[in-house]
Amino acid sequence: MPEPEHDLLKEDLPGPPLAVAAESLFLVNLMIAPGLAFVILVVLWWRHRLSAPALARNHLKQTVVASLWGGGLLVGVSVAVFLLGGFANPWSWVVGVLYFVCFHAMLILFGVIGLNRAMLARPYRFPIIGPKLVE
Amino acid sequence: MKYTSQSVALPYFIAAIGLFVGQIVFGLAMGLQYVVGDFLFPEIPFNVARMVHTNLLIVWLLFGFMGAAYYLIPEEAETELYSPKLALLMFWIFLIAGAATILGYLLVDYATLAEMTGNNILATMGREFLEQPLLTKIGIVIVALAFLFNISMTMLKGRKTVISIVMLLGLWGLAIFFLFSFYNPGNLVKDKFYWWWVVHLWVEGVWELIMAAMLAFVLIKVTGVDREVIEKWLYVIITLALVTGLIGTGHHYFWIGTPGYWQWWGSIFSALEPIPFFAMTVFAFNMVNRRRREHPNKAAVLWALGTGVMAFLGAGVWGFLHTLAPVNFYTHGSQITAAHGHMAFYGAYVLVVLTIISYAMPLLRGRAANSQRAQVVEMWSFWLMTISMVFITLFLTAAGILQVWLQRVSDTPMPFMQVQDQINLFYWMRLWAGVVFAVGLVTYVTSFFIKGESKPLITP
Repeated sequence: MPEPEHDLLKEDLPGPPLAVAAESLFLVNLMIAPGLAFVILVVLWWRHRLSAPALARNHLKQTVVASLWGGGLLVGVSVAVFLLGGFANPWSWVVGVLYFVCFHAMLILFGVIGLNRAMLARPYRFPIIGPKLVE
Repeated sequence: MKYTSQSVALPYFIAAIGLFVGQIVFGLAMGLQYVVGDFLFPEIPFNVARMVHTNLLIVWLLFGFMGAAYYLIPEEAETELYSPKLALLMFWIFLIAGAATILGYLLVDYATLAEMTGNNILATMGREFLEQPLLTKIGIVIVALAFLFNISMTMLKGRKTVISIVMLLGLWGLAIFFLFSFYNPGNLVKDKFYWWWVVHLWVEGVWELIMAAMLAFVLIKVTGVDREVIEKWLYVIITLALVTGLIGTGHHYFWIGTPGYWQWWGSIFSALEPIPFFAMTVFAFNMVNRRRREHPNKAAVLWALGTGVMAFLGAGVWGFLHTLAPVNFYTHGSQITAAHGHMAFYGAYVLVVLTIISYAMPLLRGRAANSQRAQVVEMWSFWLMTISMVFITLFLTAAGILQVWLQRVSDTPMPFMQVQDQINLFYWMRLWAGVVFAVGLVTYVTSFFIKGESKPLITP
């Protein structure tokens, strides 16, 4: 079934609620409730991965995969910096904190773009860490 | 421009840009003083340069806010300004008083300036950001009252919109909280406690309302999105800003002698303070992505999007970085604070003022948008200033982390000045990033003088 035409100049939230929820949970996982929001996101994806409309599935899949890659790179590289550089080395802190803050902020900004795409009923692919879009 | 009286915004914007240039000149001088301690000593010592740098920032942003109000309130209220003459009179009074104050800082030593300007009658000077002499502070109040009278009367006789109400609320709040600069109790804890009612409740309270209203106004104009959609966002943003920002003041009360419960209140509420800035980022992107037509002023759209992103990074992310009490115990007053301050002011307030200037200035000069060439140069200035500000922030953050470690965390803590030697390299890098910022600013000013085929103003 083709997507309905939306009047983006007048409608508050034309996008599908499931897609908006997925992108919101991605952001909540990064900012307010790490872990908990990710679990809810995975449950949502698992329950709707086959039945949801294509647009909602796109956002669910993107956010789950991006959370896994993003979280892995965020925590993994930070831990590696401290393990390689040493916990008592000030330069580990300089590199580790700067990496964490910048990468974390970048993930949030990707999420903001994803949330906007979901709100406006458009598909989205997270740059680099998101799976390829299926036609 | 729909109403002729909107033109009073023009001198305010020109003054704002002029003072912005002054601020950056003193910023560069200080950047150099960090690495070449004797530079300009004793003519302009570091403490004076810093005072001029921060005071110019505040004054030019106020010029920008007032110019913005004189431009957007008549258009929102759909009526001419109550008194354009009063607006112009206040402009000259504010400009002359501001210039005299800066000259006072530079030409007279601070103690003498205090003596000359009646500080013995009511002592209000000597406090960071509120260094202005008593006479200047009284002048600011008079200008603010006349300005608010003018703007409020305009609104009362015209249409009342959410944007103009939020803008007015923010501006009244700005004036009311400034009154605490006259309260200077002998008890240092109380002094600091109320000092933050000016400083914090401005930048993390009422200024956010002004910023959100200005951004909403420009976004309506450049995207064509329905007013109702934008107004709903505005309600959400200002609610978030006030709920988090007011009690968030507590993050300044951690180690100054206030009761310990402020560590909890301050930590919890200020940890939520990035949310309104986050909402503004979503808001800006959402509105720009909704547009059906390309507005001829692409530069204004870029400044608006930049405001959303950079305010979130500077005020939100870099604020959160050191806002929790256990973290702040180590980072308080270090270069991490300076990093946050630079990016937050640039992202939130410098960019929003430049956004409205970018939108309104061509209209004030009789065209819908500047020529393509002028806009390209303007957009170059955006990228030069923004990227260099990101680097200034990163270098200061790196300096701050190292400073905290060497001075406060290490088992063998080093004295302050020895630590400054250790982080000298970052100060040099910050200075070069500052030079690029200045190049960006010169590029910005140049963009106003570039001719070419501009988009004509279509009048009904």
